[in-house]
Amino acid sequence: MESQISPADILNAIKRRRKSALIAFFIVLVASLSYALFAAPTYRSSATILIEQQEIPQDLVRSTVTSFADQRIQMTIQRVMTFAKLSQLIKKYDLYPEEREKEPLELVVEMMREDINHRMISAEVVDPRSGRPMEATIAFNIAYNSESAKTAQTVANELTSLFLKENIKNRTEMAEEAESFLSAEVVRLRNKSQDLEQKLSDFKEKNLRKLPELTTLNLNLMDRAEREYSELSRQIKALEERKVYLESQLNQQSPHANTVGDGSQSVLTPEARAKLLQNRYISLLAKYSEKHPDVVKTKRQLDNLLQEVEIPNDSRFISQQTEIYRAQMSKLLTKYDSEHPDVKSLASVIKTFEQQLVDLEISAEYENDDADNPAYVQLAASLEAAKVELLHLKASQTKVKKKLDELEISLLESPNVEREYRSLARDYENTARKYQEVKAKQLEASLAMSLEQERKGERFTLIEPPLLPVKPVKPNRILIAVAGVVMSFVMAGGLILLLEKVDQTIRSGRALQQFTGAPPLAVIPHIVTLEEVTARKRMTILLLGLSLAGVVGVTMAVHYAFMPLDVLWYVALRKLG
Amino acid sequence: MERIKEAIERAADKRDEHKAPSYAGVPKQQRPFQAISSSGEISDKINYPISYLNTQIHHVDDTWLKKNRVLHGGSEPEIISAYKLLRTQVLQKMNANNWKSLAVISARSGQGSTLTAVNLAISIAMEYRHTTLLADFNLKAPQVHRYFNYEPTIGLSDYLLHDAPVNDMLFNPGIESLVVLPGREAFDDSSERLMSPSVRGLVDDMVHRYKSRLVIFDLPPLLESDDTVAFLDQFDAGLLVVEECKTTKSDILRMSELLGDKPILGTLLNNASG
Repeated sequence: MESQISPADILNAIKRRRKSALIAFFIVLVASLSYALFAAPTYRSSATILIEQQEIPQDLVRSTVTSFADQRIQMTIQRVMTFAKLSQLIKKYDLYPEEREKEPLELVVEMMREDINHRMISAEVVDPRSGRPMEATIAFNIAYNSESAKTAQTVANELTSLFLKENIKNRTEMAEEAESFLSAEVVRLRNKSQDLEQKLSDFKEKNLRKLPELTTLNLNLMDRAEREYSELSRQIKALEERKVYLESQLNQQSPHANTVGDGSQSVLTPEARAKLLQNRYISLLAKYSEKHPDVVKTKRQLDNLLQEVEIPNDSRFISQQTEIYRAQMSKLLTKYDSEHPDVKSLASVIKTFEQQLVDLEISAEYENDDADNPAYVQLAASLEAAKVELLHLKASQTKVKKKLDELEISLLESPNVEREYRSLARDYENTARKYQEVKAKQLEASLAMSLEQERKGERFTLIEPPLLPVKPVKPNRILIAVAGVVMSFVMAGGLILLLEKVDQTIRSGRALQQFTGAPPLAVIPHIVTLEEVTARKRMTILLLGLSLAGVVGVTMAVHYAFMPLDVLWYVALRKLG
Repeated sequence: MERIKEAIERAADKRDEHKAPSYAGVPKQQRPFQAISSSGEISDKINYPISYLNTQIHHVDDTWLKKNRVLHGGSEPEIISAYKLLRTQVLQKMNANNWKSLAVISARSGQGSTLTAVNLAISIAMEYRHTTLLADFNLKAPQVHRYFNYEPTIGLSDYLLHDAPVNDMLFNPGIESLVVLPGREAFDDSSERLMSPSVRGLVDDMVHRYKSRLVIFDLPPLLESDDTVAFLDQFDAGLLVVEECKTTKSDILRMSELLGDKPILGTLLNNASG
């Protein structure tokens, strides 16, 4: 890098490179000026859409459309800018005719997308909840660029109305979806709730006594039952003692009056007498053989008595007597055969007694009237009574025991039952509550749906419809022309710089000094010859003449072939101004 | 050496046949030539009468000189003063080091070495204390004579080929104290020739003949042939000619590489526009 570049060096550099610099300069200049003059204009028509807040306060009716405005706008724009919709527009208004011939439709649609611009307009607002300033989108702008002003307006119009329609469709769809979802949930929850209710009552029925509410009662019952049981046990014990006592007493008594041992004399009924004789006979037979005179005497007394009087209605007596006769019969049969008249008579007596027994057994069941000893009878009666009561008590006790066992089981199972019961109850409560909640939400959602359907929700309103553009938005011709001039200088300058940089020759005495370390001994300037001077003069004249001719020629050509000059002047003025 | 002597003696024989030029009245110390004594010794003193009986005088038209950018009385003052500056420094350095011969060297052809040699020689000759011999040793393409609009009948090539007498080749282009030894034909084997003993002898003669004589050699461009490198040890110092916007830095580097330790008086920026 050269350390100091004097103005002389710069001038020299320019002089040296003037040819290339001039060429660059003119190329850039001509290019930019032609672009400035002849570039196709782009017209732009735009619509401004205001985002109006919901009329009905949010506290009263909450909207189900919950995304941010920006997001919704973007989404709606995407829905409008689909291939289907845009290609429809292209065909309807015959847009991009040349491009459609050369390029596939997808590319043309893509070009159209680039010609569609949208922009959010936001304002600083204060967030009502937090009090902090924030940016909120309050409106947005949708625009279309085209080479023709009319087309720009028409297409912008179409796009705007497409956009607004899509938005409305979108919103109602969202609200309806929310509402139907919630309705379905309501139904589901209601069914579930009913199921659980049913389950709960079934359970209650099944586990009636084990229900936790009855625990206290059950405890009380159990307490009472236990006391009853012990009371009964006590009574039973007492009664059994009494029974034993009575039995022992009874054993000491004879069922018949005056038949205890010998000696006691009293008037006996024939029945009593028969029983007495029988007993005596049996006891004598136990001691002596039947041939004994006492035995024979007793036997004869008994037989005679029995022939005279009725047979006593005492089954015991009868059966005993039958036994006696049967014993006699067997004895007889050892001596005589069955045809012997003694045998026959005895046999008939046996028969009679047997029959009597049968009859007695059929007819009289509970008559216990064979005992005639009043003490005996009383004792027997008391014993019977005690026995009966004992049976009753025992039965009661069994019942109470059973009840006690049942209560115990109930109490033991109660906690499990309680747990299951509580969980069922809880499920049911939860479902019921949820159902209430969802029902409330569904109501809200259906309100919101009505809100959308009546267009009372957040709305997009067109406040500035697309106008017919008068001036093109591009290109800014004056700016381009000025920029073009500047660029020409810059390019020329840049080219000079570049050439100088690239140039490896020595271009000045100082450069030579820098390179060799010592200044040159002398610097010989260019020696001009006469021929050079004249040649240069000639060249200048020639160039001037040519340029003049060129300018004239171009002007004429433009005037006659392209556009008359005065017209061109006005066109240029219009375009530039 | 021998040949020159013979040549000069032969020339001396013809001396009387020629008319003395108008320089006869020039004071001794200003006369460029000193006759070699018959003994053949080189004399230190400028005692002998100097005569241009040996050299022809060839006047050049001013228009020719102008056209070919040759320095002359009617040149632009800035040109004259530029060359004066060059001349002064060159002479200073040559005298300080007791150098007698100078080669004007450029990198490539067309960069002005021949013109510089010519103009430097003329500039030095104008201050005619110093006699200058401008020798065209560019055996590949002799150019010097053209600047003077002179067509030599015999030149250096004839000496090399046929032993022609050098004295007869010399001419004076109408400028005091300047004698030119032209080329004539070109050689292919120029560098070999330059290293030949005959050339060495001639150079030796030229340099040592007169004390105050300065010899300026014109040689082919350094980077386009090996002539100059071959001739390197036959001249005392070099002068590098650099043409503005033509000579590249790499060429300069290469030149310095080739020249090695050879004393270089300095550089000259030629054809400058600033």
